Amino acid sequence: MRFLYVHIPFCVKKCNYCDFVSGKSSPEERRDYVELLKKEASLYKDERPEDGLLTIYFGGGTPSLLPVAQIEELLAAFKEYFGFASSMEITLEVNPESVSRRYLKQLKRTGVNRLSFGVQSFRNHHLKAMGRLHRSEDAVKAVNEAADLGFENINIDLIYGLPAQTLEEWRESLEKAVSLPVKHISTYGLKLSDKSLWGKLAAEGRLTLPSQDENADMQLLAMDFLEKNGFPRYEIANFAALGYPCRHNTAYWLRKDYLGLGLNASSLFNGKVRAVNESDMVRYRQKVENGSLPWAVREVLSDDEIREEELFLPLRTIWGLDIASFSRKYGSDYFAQKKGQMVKLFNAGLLTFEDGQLKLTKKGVLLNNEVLSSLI
Amino acid sequence: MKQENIRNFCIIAHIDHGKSTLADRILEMTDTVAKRDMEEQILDSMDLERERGITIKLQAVRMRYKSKEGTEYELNLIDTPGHVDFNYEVSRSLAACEGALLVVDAAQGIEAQTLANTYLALESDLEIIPVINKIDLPNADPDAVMEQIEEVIGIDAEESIFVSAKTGEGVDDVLEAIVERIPSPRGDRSAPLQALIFDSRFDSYRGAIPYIRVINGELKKGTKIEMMDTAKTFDVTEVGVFSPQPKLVDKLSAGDVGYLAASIKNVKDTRVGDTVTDAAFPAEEPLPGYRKAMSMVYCGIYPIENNDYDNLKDALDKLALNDASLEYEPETSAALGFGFRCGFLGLLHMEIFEERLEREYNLDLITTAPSVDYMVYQTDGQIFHIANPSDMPEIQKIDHLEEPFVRATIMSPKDYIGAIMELVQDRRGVFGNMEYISTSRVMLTYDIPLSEVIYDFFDQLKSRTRGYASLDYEFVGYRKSDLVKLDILVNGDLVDALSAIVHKDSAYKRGRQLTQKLRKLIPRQLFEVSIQAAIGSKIIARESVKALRKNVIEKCYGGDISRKRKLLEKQKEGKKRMKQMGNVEIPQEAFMAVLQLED
Repeated sequence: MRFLYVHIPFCVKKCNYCDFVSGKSSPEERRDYVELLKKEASLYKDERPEDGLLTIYFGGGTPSLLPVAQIEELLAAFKEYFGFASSMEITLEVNPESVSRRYLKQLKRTGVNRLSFGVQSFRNHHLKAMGRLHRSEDAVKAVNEAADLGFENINIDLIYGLPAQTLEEWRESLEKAVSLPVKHISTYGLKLSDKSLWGKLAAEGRLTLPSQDENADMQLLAMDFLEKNGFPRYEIANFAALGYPCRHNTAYWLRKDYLGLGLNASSLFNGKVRAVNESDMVRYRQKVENGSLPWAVREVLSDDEIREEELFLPLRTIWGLDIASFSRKYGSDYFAQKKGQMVKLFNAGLLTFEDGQLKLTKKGVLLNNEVLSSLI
Repeated sequence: MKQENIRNFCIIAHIDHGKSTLADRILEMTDTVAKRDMEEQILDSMDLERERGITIKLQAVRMRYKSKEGTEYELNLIDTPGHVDFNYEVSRSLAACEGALLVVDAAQGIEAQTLANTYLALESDLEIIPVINKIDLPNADPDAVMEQIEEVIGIDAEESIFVSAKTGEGVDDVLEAIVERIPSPRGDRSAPLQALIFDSRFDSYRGAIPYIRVINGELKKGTKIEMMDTAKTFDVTEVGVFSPQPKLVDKLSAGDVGYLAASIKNVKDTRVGDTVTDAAFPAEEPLPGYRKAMSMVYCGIYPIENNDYDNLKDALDKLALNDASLEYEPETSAALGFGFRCGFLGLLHMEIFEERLEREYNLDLITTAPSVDYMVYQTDGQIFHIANPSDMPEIQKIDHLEEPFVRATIMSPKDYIGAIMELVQDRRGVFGNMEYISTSRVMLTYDIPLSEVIYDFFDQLKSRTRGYASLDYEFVGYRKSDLVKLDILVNGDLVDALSAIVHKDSAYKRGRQLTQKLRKLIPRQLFEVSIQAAIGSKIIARESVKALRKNVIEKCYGGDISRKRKLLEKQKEGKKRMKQMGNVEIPQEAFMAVLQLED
């Protein structure tokens, strides 16, 4: 277990498309929560990896709502319980409006060495409609300042398929993104759950969303444009300059064990047990304070389920699935039995086979549900 | 009971004119059913009947009635269905009666259906007693309705009885009129047994139970009976009447209505219209039977799960036990697998039947669009019927086609004449006659192809006349029509279950409608799907479903993995349940919607 995720469920305001576990908070509540995280981490100290943690990822919510001192405290606790490897990736998700130059400067000293900015769009009317608190220029300024202060490994998240968004507007956002001093870009098509405000509006037909074809064009544009501009795709939604794929997230796709701390965080132990923490603060607190693991769900994966994950997770990445080692593990006839589907997928131009690796084509990336569901 | 004190009667009424309510009042007033046990509308015992407010299967009930002058009578009420689809069943109940109550709504007047059934009753020589119901309504005009009965039906309505079945007012006069005006049965009790089977029902314990009207002779427990048509014999284990629950009696005599049980295993041995006689003392001649019910509407019924075929067959066999008008035979379809082609009296009959299959036998079914029975004249001189459009021979072999026509009688307030004419002309109707049945109501007669009537004609008529028009139709014969077979091809493959026979003039419109509808129903595939409508080898309409471009899970981090895995598993499961249409995979729900396409 060398990959640690920490969930910070606080936001100044919930965005209109969001259905994550997050909400408003007072400084006292945040302070309390940090204590709970430290306590929860202590419950796992027996899981201490021999060579220390390789990555820590603060996700949210808005992790940058925590004062730097509290982040420091948390890192100290994690170091104490789990140890740090010599070269680490420590990521903090940041909202452009929530960080000042001073904050970034202090943060640099804590060991956080990767920032992930929730930029979403470089168009102010989109940002406003989404309910984001920053403007495009805030994002530009924050990213530049971070780079100035020596943050070398910076990601920005972008969302496409926004209400009434055009392909041109999306291209502008991508152009702006690659012009900034960043090493990593994640692009996500807007997905609305019916729990979010927009989800409800969309269900009532009160939101004009781009069509499937427009969405597909936007995703294709992102792949082509970013690749041409020095950010080759290495996973369905992730693009990075050479040497900068996110190590933490890659661990998920390679099915490494990981530990999640905090509300609703999930963990994988021994490749076999996946646990999800309570998403209700009261229950989470109760369990942690009692010294018990704050799990809401504990799922023991069956051999079939493990096989399915070992198949579909690597296929999400640009490195693909090593057919030889998969077949050694699951029987040489596994793919032979799927011959019909395989042929169909190859013919439809969704799959390729290069150097012993099975991979999704660009078209296959857009249709990955179709491909993966017929291969598992 | 002496024969002269028996009265057998039925009630003729339009839907909603109050037949069931009147029957309920009569049952109450004769103490046949205690008021507290009264289920609303006793005679309609099938759930479906009560829900839809119509009578499907006929029911019979025996009542005791003491007349005003003190004589005790036995009254047998035999119920009649009130919908156009069930004319055949009406004629069956009429044959078991000597009289009929003609119930007409005092505010609505005569409707087409009532008229048709009254004519049937007159043909069977029944005594008609006009009963004008709902006189408690503020807009009731019983005198006008009385006049209408005289003018339209041509019977003496002078002695019409004014009632309100709802309040009970006048119902005692109805009972008196039944005993005074309806003749008693005239059979000979000492003659050889002749009993007419007018219905039958299957009971899992006692076998097939024929409902009978004894015309001559007597029938007791222990009698060895013979079915005159099949010459099969059975020992009667039980005779009884309905009051309204089955009740054992010692014997049934000439004039009586009731049932018999004789451990008859096969309902085919209780053929409706057959005559039951005493095997030891047989009648010389059977009673005149019924003409066979004619199927008007056909459709294919298929189980959604192929392994339900035997269950469907079993259910059809069982339902057919109680439904002599049902026709069915096995057929296969490339798109749908194994199923049955079923013939029905009409669309309502078909819908009710489907619903019963699904409800009572818990079957998931797919039903093809309804069709009528066409007559094909080939160039080589062969002539045959087809009830399934897929059976149509190639265009080159056909000399001409004929289709069934009906004579439709429509009654409506005169304000809607224009709207009705427009509708009927749209449906290739040929005007026959128009008659004013009162100053404000007209009766229109048209000859229309049956195929045009079975597609939402009645709904259209209702909506264009705000529900005021009524419709009745009868088969008048086959007529030559310019018909073509319209095929649907999905990616070049013919979908047999979607073929339809349509009039040449509407083929293009229909082809366009069908392809457009399919375009909406067929989900996008990994490749583009073409949808074509064709007559022979000529493509008359085309649409395409563009290839699927995007179906992607983008975010997949630590907390998402199990959820995404389940999503993929679900999609994989869904794929297994896809139905194949040519090389196109369609989810079951869309597949069903596609095949149930109506106009």
